[in-house]
Amino acid sequence: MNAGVLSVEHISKSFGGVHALKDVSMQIRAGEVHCLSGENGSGKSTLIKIISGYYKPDSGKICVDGNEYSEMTPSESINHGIQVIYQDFSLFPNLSVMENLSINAEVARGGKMVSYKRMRETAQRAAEKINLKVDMKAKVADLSVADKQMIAIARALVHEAKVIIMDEATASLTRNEVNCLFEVIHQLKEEGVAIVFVSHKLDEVFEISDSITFFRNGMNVISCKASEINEERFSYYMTGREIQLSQTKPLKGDSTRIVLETKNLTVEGAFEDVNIQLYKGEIFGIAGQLGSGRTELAMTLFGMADIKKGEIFMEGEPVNISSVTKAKELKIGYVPEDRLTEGLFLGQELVENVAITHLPQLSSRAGFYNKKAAGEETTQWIETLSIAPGKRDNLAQKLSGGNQQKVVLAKWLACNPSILILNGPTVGVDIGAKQDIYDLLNRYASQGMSIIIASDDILEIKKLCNRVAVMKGGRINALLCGDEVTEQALVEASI
Amino acid sequence: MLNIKKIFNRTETYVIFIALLFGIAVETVSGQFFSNTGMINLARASMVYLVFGITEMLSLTCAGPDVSYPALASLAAYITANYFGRGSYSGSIIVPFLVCMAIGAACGMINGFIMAKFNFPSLIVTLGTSSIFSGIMYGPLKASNTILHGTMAEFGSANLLAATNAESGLKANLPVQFLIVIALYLIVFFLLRYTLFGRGLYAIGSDKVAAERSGFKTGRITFLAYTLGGTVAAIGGFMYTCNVGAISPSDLMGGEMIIIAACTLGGIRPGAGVGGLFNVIIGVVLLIMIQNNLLMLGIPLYYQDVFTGAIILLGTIVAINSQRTRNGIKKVG
Repeated sequence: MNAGVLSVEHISKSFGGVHALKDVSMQIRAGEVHCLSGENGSGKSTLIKIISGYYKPDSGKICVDGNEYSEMTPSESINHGIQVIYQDFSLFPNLSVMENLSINAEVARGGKMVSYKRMRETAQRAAEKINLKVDMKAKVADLSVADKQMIAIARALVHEAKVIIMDEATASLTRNEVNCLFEVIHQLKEEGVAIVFVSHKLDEVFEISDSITFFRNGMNVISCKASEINEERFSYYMTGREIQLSQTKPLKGDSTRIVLETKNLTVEGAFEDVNIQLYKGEIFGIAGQLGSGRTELAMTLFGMADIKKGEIFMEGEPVNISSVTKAKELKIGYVPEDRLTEGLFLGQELVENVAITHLPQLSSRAGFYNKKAAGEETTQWIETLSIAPGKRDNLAQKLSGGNQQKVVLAKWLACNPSILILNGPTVGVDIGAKQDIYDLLNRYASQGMSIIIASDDILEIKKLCNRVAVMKGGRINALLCGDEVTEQALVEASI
Repeated sequence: MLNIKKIFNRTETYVIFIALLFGIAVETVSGQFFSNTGMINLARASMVYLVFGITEMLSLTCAGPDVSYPALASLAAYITANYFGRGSYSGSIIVPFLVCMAIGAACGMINGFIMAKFNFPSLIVTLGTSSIFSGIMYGPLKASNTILHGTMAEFGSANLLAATNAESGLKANLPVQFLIVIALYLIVFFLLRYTLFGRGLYAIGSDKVAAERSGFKTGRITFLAYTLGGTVAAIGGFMYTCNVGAISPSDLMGGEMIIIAACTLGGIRPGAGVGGLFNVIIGVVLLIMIQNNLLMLGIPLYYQDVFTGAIILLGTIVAINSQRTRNGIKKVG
């Protein structure tokens, strides 16, 4: 009992004067699942990078199996039995599945040469552990996101790891695959492996964790047993404030005014025969798992696909949304799934990010860009959406996930759209900012904006939407309305 | 298992197809292409470019374009030839060869050190070192053109194969140096495929952070890659100088663009860890074929650059397009 397989003691780390971690100590025991929780930027990732040897701590020490280290290199960390499954997978898309599964083991061996026979064996063993069925010769670039995720997980199991750190390892898995992963985790626990689990999905955290450590502003606030925590306590420890989880009913909208309607909409390879109606002032949900056509449908309504068959009507008139420019002319806004690559200019100031969607309105008649007007407008949005830190010349990349998402919202709200489509509006957004965004959407919808949300977050859909289309395999499997929108119904219709 | 669809998704297929088409066109017009002399001429003309292609490929795989190799090769070859090639040296060719390699390695280390230490774009770094290398050659060393004598000149003119075309009576020779090219390709192939250094190079090109997380010593691998690249480039410079039989320091300058084009055409994606020696070979051979045979097709000298440029653009567009998977959704960005 109480065998601390990994512990950190008084770890501090700062970047250019900003404390990322302040005097953090924690202990992880063999055979337990230990969850790290905290909002974005609270220091979880920094701690993981220190444990994995990617950063060197300014002070403090790391103890693995009773041996103390003041710092480690990545290969030392691996050799001490620590494995990390990263959020971005850290795979090599140009290499084969076989090589991706086995390359870490080859590096850890420390020789100069690689042996393809040995690598094949390693890869085979890794795949068998989680029952992974993919072509070993396939390039990882050609695989689906879920397959990539499973490969990243299998790779970590190759080593006789003592500690496996899963940094948002379930972010792109369907529920079935998560169940499969949890089985693997239970098996690992029995073998005495310690699991460090990081996830934004609350239900998963409660389901799998034995204990939880909360991080806030670079400090560990509290470590406790998972069984002692409920949802309210959880949000409190995460944010340090009591969050009013709003109980308001989803908005119904005005069913007599259909602002958008699709008839037999089909996009080859994505979805077919989709019929939906969007009422004025409602938040309509498109639910469904990864690959169900949910994302593609949202993109199509914003002019990003070649429509093969079917029609789109706005206010009863047929419209041709063949490009993003057309969609913008029709006053449609779109908040993409991946804000980092599709939604923001990370290296530019907030004001440039907000202004980009409506430059003509911000320019004089001669076409000169009015930077002052843009700046004033941005400052207003920063206040309206309470974006922090609230300076318009901040670079977008310096903001936390939740605030970045608010910036993406601001740039579309600034165009005053009549329809706003959000694809995964709160992916990677922490609990506090999540609630802010929900409140915001409700506010705009009640003022008459029509909103579509495409999401695989069932709780989110249930919280916001009165009517939901559940997609499965490229078709609408169920249209739920009012009281029919329950967690169970959503899950059943999507599997 | 042979998969037809996969084959048509590969850049290499298109390049080889274009090369064959072009070869047939030349053959039809001149009847000189698929002959013993035609092939030997192609091999001889590609020889030095193939060597430089290795240097370029190493850099392209792990970081990006290397524009310093012409200056590096010229400097190493000039110093070596200036010392061993003026007639007083009559010993083994091995000595100047090794000296030249050592100079190349040292210059490559400078590239490698900067690349490994500071993580700058390779184009900027090598543009800088290129100026330094050529500056040293023309400045303190006062490089100028001279005829080569002694061992180096003899080595350059030694032939491995000589052939006479039965119909035209034209003669063609393949220099002994071609063996060096083969040896280099075998060695580098081995390094890339069977060593941790080689696999690490591809891993870095794919994702440097992921490579570091896997435990690769990315700095050391980058340093080694540029050191190797410098060494290989110096060998290319040495071969060129011996072959021409003269020290002509400015000859190689400006050749970097054609090699970068050849590599890209052959299917190497800059800084993406995609591509290998085979891609270098087909890219270089196609470009040399075009350059050497346009006259035979009756295309005037002036239009050759236009034609070469068009082939590079066309080939790259076809190659890249074939790699994009097509479906209904337009990928933005």
